[in-house]
Amino acid sequence: MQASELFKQSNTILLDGGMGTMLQASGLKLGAKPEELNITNPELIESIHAKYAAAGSRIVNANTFGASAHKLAGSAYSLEEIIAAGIANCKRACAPYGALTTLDVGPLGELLEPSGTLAFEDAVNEYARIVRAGVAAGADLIFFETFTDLYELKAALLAAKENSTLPILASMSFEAGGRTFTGCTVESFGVTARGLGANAVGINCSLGPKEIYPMAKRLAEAVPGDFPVFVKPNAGLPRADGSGYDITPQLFAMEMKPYRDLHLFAAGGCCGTTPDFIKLLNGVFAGCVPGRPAHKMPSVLCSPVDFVNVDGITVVGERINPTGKKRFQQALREGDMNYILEQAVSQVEAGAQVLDVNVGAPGVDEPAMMPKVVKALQSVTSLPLQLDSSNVQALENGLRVYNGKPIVNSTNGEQEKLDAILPLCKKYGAAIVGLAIDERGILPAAEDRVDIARRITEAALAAGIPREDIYIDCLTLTASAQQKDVLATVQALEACKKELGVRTILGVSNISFGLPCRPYLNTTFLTMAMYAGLDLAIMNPSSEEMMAAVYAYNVLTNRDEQSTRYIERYASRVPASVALKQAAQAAPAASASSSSSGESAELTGPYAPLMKAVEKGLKGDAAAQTRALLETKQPLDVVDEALIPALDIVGAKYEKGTLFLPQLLQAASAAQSAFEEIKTAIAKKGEGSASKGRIVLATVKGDVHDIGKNIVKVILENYGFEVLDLGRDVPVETVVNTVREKDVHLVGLSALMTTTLKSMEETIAALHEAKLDCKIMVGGAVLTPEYAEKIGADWYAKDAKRSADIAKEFFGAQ
Amino acid sequence: MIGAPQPLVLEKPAAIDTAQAARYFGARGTPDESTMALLEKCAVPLLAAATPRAVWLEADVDALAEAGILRGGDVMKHLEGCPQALLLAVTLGPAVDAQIRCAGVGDIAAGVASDALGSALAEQAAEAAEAELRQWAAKEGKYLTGRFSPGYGDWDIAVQPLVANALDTVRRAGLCVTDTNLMTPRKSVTAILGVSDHPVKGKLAGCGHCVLRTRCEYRKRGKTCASE
Repeated sequence: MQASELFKQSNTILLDGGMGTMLQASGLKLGAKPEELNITNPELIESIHAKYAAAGSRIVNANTFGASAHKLAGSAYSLEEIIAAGIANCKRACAPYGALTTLDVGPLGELLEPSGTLAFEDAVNEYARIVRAGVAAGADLIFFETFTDLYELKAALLAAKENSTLPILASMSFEAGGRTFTGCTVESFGVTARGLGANAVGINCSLGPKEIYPMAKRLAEAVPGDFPVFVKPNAGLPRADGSGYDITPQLFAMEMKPYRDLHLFAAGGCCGTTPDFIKLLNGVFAGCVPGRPAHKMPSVLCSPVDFVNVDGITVVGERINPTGKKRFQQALREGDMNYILEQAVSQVEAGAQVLDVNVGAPGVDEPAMMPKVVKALQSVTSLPLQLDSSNVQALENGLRVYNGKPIVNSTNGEQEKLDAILPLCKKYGAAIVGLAIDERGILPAAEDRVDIARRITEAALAAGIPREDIYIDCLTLTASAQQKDVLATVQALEACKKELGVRTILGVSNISFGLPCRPYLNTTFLTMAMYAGLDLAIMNPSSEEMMAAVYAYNVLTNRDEQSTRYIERYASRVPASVALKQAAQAAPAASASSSSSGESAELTGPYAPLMKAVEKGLKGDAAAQTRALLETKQPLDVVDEALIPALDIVGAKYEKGTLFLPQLLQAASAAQSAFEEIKTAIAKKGEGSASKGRIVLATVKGDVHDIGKNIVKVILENYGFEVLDLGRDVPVETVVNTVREKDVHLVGLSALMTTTLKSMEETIAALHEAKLDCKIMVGGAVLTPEYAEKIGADWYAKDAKRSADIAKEFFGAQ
Repeated sequence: MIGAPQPLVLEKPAAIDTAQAARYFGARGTPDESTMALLEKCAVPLLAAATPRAVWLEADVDALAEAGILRGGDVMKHLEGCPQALLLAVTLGPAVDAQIRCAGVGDIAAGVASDALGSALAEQAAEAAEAELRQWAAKEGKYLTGRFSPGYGDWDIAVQPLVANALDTVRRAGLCVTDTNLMTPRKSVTAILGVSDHPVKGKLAGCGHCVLRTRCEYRKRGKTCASE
């Protein structure tokens, strides 16, 4: 068989079975590196491949599964040597049978960010090295298998597409619950891997044929009927006594029979299977023709964990967008990721299903910011993202690091734009928003907008983007300015849906600019658009009126069967208007009770309520008191007269041992929410900042324990310092470069483990060597004042309180 | 002989031990109401995010020593009188790390509380795994020591990759070890238990070799981390 004929076979092809199983049977010691045998015992490896080829395997995996730099650490051979020998062994065995040799590639053995420390681009580079070695050695195809992290699979697929033209089979391992260890669903895998250019998708390892079957069925349904699907199950489940797997070749063959219905492209075995298992599969799959009938493909957006089937109205949160928001723009310029993440978390809580992400603002390096924000968002939420930018490079950078299948917002009908954006969506497997606008601007007539939409749709199809991934935006016009054209948007939307068979999207809130009581207009327009067939509504999910319209619409159109979701959301609520009335009646009573129950009786004056709220760690109360104070007081006065004194009181009690870390932190959280109000007020006024000094914080290279550093960050911010938080596992150069570029004179480093103290020492040495005018404070559980001095730190901070004292001392003296 | 790694089916605990979490959070004595309320609130999504998994194997102590896994006197003392030992790895999975990050967004108290809850839950999962292993031992007519983990006493944390490799934790539990010997997902535990044909207690290392011995808050109060 030629590799080019691979997907044109008239019968299901047989893959091979377990390699580890065969090696253990021939006496491989546990813990030894099986890939080294490619060089130390090529005859053994070749003989195993030959047994599989003789049994009927026509795609045979070279013994290269663990040939990665991390897994081969300490080996006498390079991964290139091991791969070259492995491919050669396999090719020799395959030749007499006309079987194909794969470069077999498994996970790298390191967890990727955000849970682990391996950076995405480093993973791409590691896989690129493996792929290049396989191509050079003459592999016929590439087989990524046993992946459990979709992000790692994406790195592998990008590396394969960018460094070879070989066909790619991609396979993940699922647990009985239908998810991988990292929570990835079968559907997210199928959709994402296909989008990224895998030529076939499959499931291997972990379970036996019986357990994998329902998942394989789901996988087959997640991809088009003509898209190749394969399986490589284990020989059943592991026996309880650890002595191998529980089914025989005959039982395995019997359990594989149902797979005929899935019209697999290929089938084989994984752990515990041997050539005897494969031999019996010849009969099982005799006359089985690959490929299933075509079925309607859903419109899907996903992260590994969350799979959104856009079938009916779907809410896209609009709040991650700095347009017209000074505080957001400031946060972007300062790299204040926490502010951006708060916008995300609150929208998730409000019920958004997708989050729009726009980071374009004056003074922001959008291509650099987009991937940072995408990674940060995906570290705290599993909602799919809509990457929103007019900057092509920003879109590409965001697409590259996104984990799953995102949607791009947007292209329009201009040829230049289509040429730039569509290939990106194709390469990264993204859905696309097409604005029904071109060089001529927004055309008033519905037909004209539909014409542009048709052109966009045709261009997208031609670029290889399937129809179900095309979302047309017919553009919401502002009722106050173009009232007579508002209906044209709804009409165009309806026509696009019917005539073009595409999905639709609208930025709903634009409708009401310049008019009072905007939610009324937004909600009515949203309802009109939903009835015309709107799929994605870009809106503020915190607007309860609009969310209620969405939930109610789903009841009235019989999508929310038995009104289940509506009841779940609203059973214990009252309508917003009633709630307001109730709150107004209750408010005076509440404030009266809070003023009568003050514990710190000594506190009086205008700042006392805020100080009490901080002391007691009441987040919501602290924010509300701050808002009230800001109506009459200067923001910086609130910091100096209320926040800092309150934190000092709490800090003193903590030092005395009359209160402990939980209370200190709850006070810090309350101060955090107060500070957020202050920053917003300052940004609104557009005057300066609240910063009392700029400090770089980092958890050193190799250390993933950043809780202590995060505490220090919040406390320092609460005292009015500006913190550049470099995160955890921070390379030495990043610290040095930031200190230099941002002109920083105080650095805080943390390390929790004895093993990472070395990184701390190296970071300090590098800062000194660079002759930067900066002082360094260090902290962490295993540090001592003596050790801090020994490694050249200027201060040892035993806790967060001390770090704030050091900062006050330092900036006070300056 | 180092046996093949085997999965251990773990039931997710019905609730997180919030009293233990309060101690990890830094509370002393009986935690106040607001601290407990915060822990209770954070415990719900954290427990939901957890997917506890465990894998273990049985091996000859000599073989483990030969493989470089048993370094340092303390662990050898713990295994005294035990010709065999069990290696164990338990992880709560990456979604717990994600939930801790998420809880900490804009609310440091909730972030640290969630981290403490994660530690308490990891300990509960390790206890549950140990209980399973004790049942196995009882059936075999064998006795087990308590758990002893890499990094404790003078058992060099550098053995962590070897332990993970022997247990094939990447493939069997999604548990990886970084180049700096840290486990990811973070809320994970590895340990060794001695196996003998007569009752054995093992020997905890005590504070003598602990890296925290000079600054330990428990020691300052005349206690140990095991006793409180």
